[in-house]
Amino acid sequence: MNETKQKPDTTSGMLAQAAGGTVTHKSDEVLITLFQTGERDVFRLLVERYQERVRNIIYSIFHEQAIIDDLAQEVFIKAYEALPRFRFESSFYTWLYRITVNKSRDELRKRKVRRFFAIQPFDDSAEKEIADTLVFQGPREDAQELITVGLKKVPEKFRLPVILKDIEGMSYDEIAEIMQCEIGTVKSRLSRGRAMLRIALRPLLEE
Amino acid sequence: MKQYSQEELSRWLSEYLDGSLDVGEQTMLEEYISAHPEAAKELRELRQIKHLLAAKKEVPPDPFFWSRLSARMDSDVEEERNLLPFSRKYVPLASAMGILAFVAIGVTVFLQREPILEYLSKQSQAVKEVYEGGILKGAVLPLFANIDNDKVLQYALFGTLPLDAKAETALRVDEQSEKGYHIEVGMTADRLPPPVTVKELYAEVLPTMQQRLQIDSVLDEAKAKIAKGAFYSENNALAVDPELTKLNRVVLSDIASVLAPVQRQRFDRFLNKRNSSYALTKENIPTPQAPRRLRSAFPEQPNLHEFVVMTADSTVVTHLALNIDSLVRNQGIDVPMVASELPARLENLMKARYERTAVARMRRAEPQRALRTTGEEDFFKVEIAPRFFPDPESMRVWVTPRLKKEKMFRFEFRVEHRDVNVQSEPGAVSSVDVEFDFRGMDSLMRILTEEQLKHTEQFRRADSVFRARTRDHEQPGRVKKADTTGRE
Repeated sequence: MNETKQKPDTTSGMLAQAAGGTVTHKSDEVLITLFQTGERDVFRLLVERYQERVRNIIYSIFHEQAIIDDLAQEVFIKAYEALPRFRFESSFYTWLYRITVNKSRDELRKRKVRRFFAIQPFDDSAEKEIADTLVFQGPREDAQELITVGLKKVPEKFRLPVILKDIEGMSYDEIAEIMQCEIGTVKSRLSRGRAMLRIALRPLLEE
Repeated sequence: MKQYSQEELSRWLSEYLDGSLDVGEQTMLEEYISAHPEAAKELRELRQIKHLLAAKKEVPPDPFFWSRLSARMDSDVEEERNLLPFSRKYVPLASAMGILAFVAIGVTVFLQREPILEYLSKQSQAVKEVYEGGILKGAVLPLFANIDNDKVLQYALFGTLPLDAKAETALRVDEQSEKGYHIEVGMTADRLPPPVTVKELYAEVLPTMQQRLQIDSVLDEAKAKIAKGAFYSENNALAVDPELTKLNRVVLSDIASVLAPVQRQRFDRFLNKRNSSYALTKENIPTPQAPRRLRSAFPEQPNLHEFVVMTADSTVVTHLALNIDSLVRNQGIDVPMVASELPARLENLMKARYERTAVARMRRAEPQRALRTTGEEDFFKVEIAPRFFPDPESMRVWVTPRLKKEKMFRFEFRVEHRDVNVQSEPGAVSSVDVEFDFRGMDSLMRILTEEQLKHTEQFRRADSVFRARTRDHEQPGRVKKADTTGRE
């Protein structure tokens, strides 16, 4: 009997040997442990597991197709760099969402700076009026688009808890961890965000 | 029933929607909602929004996300590694800090320039001392910074350069292929070589204008090499570039290389007439060519250069971190030790070395080493074993050391003796003229000893022949004692 161990020809096979099962079904914790022990290839599995959620959060915040991939890539690159120092004090996806939120906030901050220095040709109120008209006079099937536009009207500080709670279905604890604030603050911001969204979507809700 | 402000109501309705109220709070709110249609409407609308958000259309999946991410990670990692030691987002901050630091350093340096210059000067001195191993200290005087091409030619012919303006002392170098090289420093007295000029060389060799330019360039290069080849320091240490020992041969070979065969014969005659230490070899001289040997024989080295350093106590071969170009350029400037002091300083150095060597001789014989030093009160000589500076193939040259003409003495005498041949009439007188040359008393004694041994042997042979013949003439059985005193 040949007892020489065959080198696995795929990453999955190797990881399966190491973890004693199909690696694609392993928990985040197992994959991270493998990553931290030098099996950097498992990062791909984590990316594939969370890439859509990260992209959706980014889309929910910015509502721009163009920025999704760039920002999502930055999120995962940051995660790749920081993962060796991950200490399992929170779940991986909470940690990953925090990175996503922080990256998104950085981007929003940059945009604010850019807007501050940009030349403002017209009165803001006129633009707002045009947007309102377009949004709320559309057909019913465009409700999703209206929600998107309504969300954009809510300030980022109140919008994020709404997205994390109502779109991503997270708990208060998780949102507090991601936003790095108290649970009371989360509750307060969430209720205010919903109230703002209700006002923004009133024409739609009254139909 | 509990009454709610609008803000409170929104908060409670929001939490009610999420199911995070406890049973008591929930009951209380439900009672309020049933009594207040606006509150019920608000709850309904919030539920509707929550429903719409939950059903929100997701972005279409991207099957190539990993490929793009992987490619970007590779390029980012490469960029980060190659260019920046920190994340790119800190670039503006780092730039700003860099500018601030630059300005701050500039202002500080300007304000503190005197202490800083003093500190740098001390550091420079300290570093210099460390590198030089404490051998050369204080001001360093280049000895041959201002020699002309005539002196270079003189050096090429005789390997001698005057160390001071009055030519009271001289540096002599010689290359002896078997014994190695030697560097000699001493009083000149009657040992100064005859003066020789480039003009005389040209007058005898008759080079063309192009050949003159080439020879001038050879001499210029050699001049630069010599200028960087010998230093004297304030603490009375003499540093000599050992390559100077080979330079004269290389210079003569370079000059020969640009000459046509007829001119070479004249050049050899020129060397011979002036009793140069070198003569041209008759073979393996290629056709005239551009002189490139000097540069290839002595490739330029950075400031760290190898020198033989002679002090009163020691002789060492060491690398010195001297900025040679700067020293040569600034010769005579900021040098407290002036050249006029040199003869006296050299005299002291020679005496000190002689005293130390005498003490060493009394203790025990000096073991054979790569460096061997000898000397008297008015000179000292450092012999460097050939293995110390092995000759590369490129050092092969076309001149060879000339046999030195030494003073010879002729010894002539006549030996007269009487024949003792038994067959002839005894008593006949004959004579032999003996003559030989000798160089000094040592060689005379050696020759006389050899002659004595030779004649003793001849006598023994003659004696045995004489005895045998005497026996033949006498009657058998009668043996006559041989005359062993037959010497005339």
